[in-house]
Amino acid sequence: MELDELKSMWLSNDANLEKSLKLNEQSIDLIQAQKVASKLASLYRQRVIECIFHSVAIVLLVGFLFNNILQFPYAASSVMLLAFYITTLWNAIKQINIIKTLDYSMDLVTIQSSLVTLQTHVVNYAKLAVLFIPTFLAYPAVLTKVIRDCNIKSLYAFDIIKQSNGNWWTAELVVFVVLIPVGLWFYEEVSFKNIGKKWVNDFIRKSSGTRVTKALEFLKELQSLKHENI
Amino acid sequence: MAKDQEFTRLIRDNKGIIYKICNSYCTDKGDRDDLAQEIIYNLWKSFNNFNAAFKFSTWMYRIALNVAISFYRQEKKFKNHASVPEGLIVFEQTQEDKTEVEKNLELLQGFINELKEVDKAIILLYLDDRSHREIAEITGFTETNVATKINRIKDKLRANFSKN
Repeated sequence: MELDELKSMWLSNDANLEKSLKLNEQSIDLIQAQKVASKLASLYRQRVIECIFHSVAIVLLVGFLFNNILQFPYAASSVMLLAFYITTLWNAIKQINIIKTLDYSMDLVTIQSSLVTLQTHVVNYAKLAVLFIPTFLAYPAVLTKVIRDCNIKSLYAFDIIKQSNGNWWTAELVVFVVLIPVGLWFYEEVSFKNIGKKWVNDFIRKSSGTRVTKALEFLKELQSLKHENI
Repeated sequence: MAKDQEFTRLIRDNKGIIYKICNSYCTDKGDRDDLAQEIIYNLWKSFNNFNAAFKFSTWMYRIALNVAISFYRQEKKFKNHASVPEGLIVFEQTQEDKTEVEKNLELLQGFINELKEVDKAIILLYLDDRSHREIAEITGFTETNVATKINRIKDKLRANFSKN
């Protein structure tokens, strides 16, 4: 049977459908009276909390950087950590912006892509965690300096820099030089565009779950439909 | 006319759209009811922003299809509107025996249910006699993409019909 023939049947059935469909108007009144909290409202609150947390970390690190600007190893360590928190803050701000501008009366591709971006936010953390592996060595450096600056004598035993006799900085430099290019490559590769690659698919599924993987596959499908060359 | 009455009238006039979308995105009756409520809730929430210069059915299709695709993609369904009774839009079949046309339409509905989310949206709009331009506006694809997609879906449906 040809679809055009079915289309005529479908349209002629509309009149029958109109007669047979009964709308419960009392239920419409109930829906109009309801004040249901949007599912996006809780997501919005979560992202605002993330923003506050990252902003506090940035303020503290800027303070640390200001106090140690002349001591290059400490200044460099705090800059690395700042880069991490600024990136995560930027991601959270982008998410808030998406939530605030989300309008279901926009076209399907725009809205569904935005919803998938919100749903897959957790992947950004997994990607950033890998990208910033080298900078994790900066945490002990910054923390031990804070302990010394605050004169907390009971924690002096945890001063890694002193105990490593300067080897700490060498280790950090080597790790940084070797791993940052790898991290950058990884950050670019782990994207919905490469969801078809087995290792990318495996990483996303293991770090963020099947639901997020399916969402990214859907995003790839939407984008390829939109940009399909015919 | 008050805003809420105007809204109810527009929903009454276009209830077929909601029914067809719910039928195509959900096979379970409970899910269909939940989806119908979710669609009407989102339409009501956005109603203030509706520009009367535009066609209500186009605006309604955009919101309803966006809600349906999001609803379909959720693994766990969360019922938001606990106080709304079931049976928001009820189909009352008047005759016992189905005609040949009804049987074919039922078959077509079954095939639509098996399509991917976006394909369902496109074929529903096509069957509703929307122009390629309007389908492109609702979906966000180009008119050329829409035409190609429709042809591919037609081929798929034709193959399904020939198997039966």
